[in-house]
Amino acid sequence: MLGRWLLDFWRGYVVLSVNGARVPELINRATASGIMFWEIRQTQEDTFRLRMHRDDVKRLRHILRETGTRIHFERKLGLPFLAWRAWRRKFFLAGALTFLISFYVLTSMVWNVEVVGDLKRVSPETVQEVAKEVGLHRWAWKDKLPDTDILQGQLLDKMPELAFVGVKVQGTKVTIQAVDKIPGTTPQPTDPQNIVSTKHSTIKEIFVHKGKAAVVRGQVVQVGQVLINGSLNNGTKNVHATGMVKAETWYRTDLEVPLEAQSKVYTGNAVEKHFLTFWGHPVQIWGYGQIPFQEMETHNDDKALTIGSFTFPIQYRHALYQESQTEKTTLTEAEAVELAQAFAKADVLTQLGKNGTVESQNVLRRELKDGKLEIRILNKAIEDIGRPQSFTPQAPAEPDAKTKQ
Amino acid sequence: MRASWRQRVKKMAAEMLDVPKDSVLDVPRITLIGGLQLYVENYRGIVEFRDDLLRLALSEGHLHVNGKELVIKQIFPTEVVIEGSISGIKYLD
Repeated sequence: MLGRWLLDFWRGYVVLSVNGARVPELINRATASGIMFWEIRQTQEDTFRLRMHRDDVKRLRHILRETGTRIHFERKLGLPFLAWRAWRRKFFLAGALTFLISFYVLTSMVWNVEVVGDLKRVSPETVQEVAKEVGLHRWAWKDKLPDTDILQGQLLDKMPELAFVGVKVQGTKVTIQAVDKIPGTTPQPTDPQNIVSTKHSTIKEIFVHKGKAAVVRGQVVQVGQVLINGSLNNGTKNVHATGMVKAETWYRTDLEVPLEAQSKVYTGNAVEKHFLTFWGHPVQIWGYGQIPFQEMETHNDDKALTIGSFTFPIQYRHALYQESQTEKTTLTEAEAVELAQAFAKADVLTQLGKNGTVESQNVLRRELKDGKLEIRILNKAIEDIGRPQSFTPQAPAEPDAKTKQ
Repeated sequence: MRASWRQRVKKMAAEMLDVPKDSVLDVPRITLIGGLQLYVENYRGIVEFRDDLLRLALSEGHLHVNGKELVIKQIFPTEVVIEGSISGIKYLD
């Protein structure tokens, strides 16, 4: 049945209304001459509706005349009619087709070649030039491009300065990710310099990398004193002195530690409420009831809907009320001292460099006064006290002596 | 109407060979499917068609089909398919 319908659709058929007194005769004669009718039904006295193939209509003409029957086309169905209608709208169709084709063509081209990556040895423009040589350029057909693996290989071959090249095609955009080989080592600075002390301290250890140690272990140095000398052989040779000087330094910390402290502790009980806020005015929507807590902390969590830079003025607020308790803690004097030492250590560590350590702490003085412990702590620290300081050579050095460095 | 000699021979042959008579004799074969569909093979023409009555000419006599909303579903030179609610078929000489 579906096959029949498809065939009829392909050939095209019409729904006819035939009117006349001799319709049965018309049907007989048409059928006898090989014209096919189907779905014949009476609609009015002497009027019938039937279906027939489009190309049979011509052959029906003379039978219609001879039987005095008149016809009226009600519907025209099938592919030939669709094609005819399409032909009448050919410019519209041509436009649609042009659009589709141009869309397809434009999206199968490369529009943009972008080079990303922190490049120091080659410029992104050079990478683009080389990419052009291997066929990666604007207007290139994406289908004609070789595989990205092959492209990557070709780019790497042409640019030995690069350690890695990644090619990614995303729509009409090609991204070339390039990574330099390890950049050449930066030349060692050669300008003459000394390492001088930044603090009044006692030298503990001295490591000379370049230059000559000017102090010894156990020596007390002043601020600005040269620790590692860059001037060698009485100023005939000047080097960029480097090294590390560790020295013992002292820090005094004065603290007051109250023996009684209050702290807030959550009991674990909580009540939730839900609000909608209209331009900041909260309207409760859920979680009614009294809050049974004496002491509590409130946490409001607002959820705002934002579109771009626009924030929707109606927002949802989730409020959490957590019951809390104030607890009093009393420290013994020993505990207070311990706490003070910990504070002092943390304070000193922030003043030291990253390699500094606190060696020992001594309580110099302590006194209990009005429930507070007043304490003075001496912290002994080990830290790097060296600081580079460039100098101009006093005696002009021989040129060959300098180049040897 | 007296059957011709040729007709009689055909009828005899059909009886002796035990084959369906419509394949030998020039008579219609009428198939009715549940009062909904009617196949008439070997008809001679439509005499009258209304939505409650269809009169078909046969090689001998007529066939009246009564019913409601009768539709000629398909029509070919030797076969006609009728659909609708068929209430009666009458064979007339």
